[in-house]
Amino acid sequence: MTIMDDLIERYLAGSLEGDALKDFEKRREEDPVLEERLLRCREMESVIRNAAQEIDAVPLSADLQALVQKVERGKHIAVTAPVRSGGAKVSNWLAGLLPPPVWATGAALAASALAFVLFGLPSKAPLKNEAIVLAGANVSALADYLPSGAVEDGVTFTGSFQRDGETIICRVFQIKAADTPSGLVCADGADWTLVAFTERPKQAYSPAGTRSDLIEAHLVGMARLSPTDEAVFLAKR
Amino acid sequence: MQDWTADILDCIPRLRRFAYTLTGDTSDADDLVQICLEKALRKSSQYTDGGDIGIWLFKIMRNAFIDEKRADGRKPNFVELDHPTSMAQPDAAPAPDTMFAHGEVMAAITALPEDQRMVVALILVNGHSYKEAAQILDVPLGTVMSRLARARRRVEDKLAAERRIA
Repeated sequence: MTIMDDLIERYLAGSLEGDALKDFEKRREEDPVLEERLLRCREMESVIRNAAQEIDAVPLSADLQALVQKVERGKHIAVTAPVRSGGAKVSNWLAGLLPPPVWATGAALAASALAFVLFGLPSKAPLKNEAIVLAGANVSALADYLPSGAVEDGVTFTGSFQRDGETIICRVFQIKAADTPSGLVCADGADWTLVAFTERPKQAYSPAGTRSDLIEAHLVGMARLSPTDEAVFLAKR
Repeated sequence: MQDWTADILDCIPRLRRFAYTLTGDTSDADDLVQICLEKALRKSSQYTDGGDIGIWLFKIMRNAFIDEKRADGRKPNFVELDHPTSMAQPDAAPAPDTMFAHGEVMAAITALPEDQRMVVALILVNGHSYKEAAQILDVPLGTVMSRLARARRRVEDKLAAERRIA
């Protein structure tokens, strides 16, 4: 490791201050090699993050799934577990990662209905919760320009997918503000269609996760676009 | 379901990414998450209410990973070279002109020493701050920075070498 690597890391960590920071910024302006190095660091961060996020689309192992279900039902809660104050939280992503429960037998129909509600009706449609509102209001707009990995309005896209020889592009999204519920939008032309974003009765919201049957079914045979290809696609939108 | 348990469950996606970055294998990653959760549930009385449950859980996972490696008879290959070793300028290694396959990237990450892999997993993959990573790994902030700098360089070099071979 070089002195410059050390300095760059301190800069990226935000720990350069005062004169050291001014000196670094000045050098950055004058030294194209340093600027290139910083750019490459950021590119590599994106490449690494995207690679590691692949596991998001992999179903939980059977053992882990069983444990999670037990925890969710409260069977593993120790009597000494601390109870925190504050609003109730729902582990939203679980609905997508666990096997489809009874409520999901009509998931395809529900998704179609939801897509209609979210994209086909005026904004005064009775949207039930924050996650759904976010999805209806923002996702279709953000899908036109927000690159995967970036976050805007609490929404992030975890990947864009396409089949060879087809023009349709699908983008998996997560809503950070609502504890990462997920969904899928697809476009073949100008407009995005919400393909999968389900909710569970009697819960505030519990949309499909990135491995839900609906999302997975739509992604079969599709390949993840590289950041470069995705940027080209978004530039054309 | 108590909020505390919900908080644990909400951490699972990030725990899985951390575990996947450490192990390089989705099945091993889920095994590690399972071990981590079971330990967390057993040790729930040790969790201090109001503390950051994420940091507590990631500490448990880090320790579980090290324990598993020891149990496998493979000692973690920590490398402690936390001081800059040369005054060389940043070199102008060729920037990636095309993106790398995820498999290539994960192979480069899992080839890192564990201590560097952990900071990559926490900071670059999961978006923890350097300070949080220092807390989880129980090392000084400067150590986190130097490990990450070294990891960046190694991953780049490894990927560049793969590209040259290809």
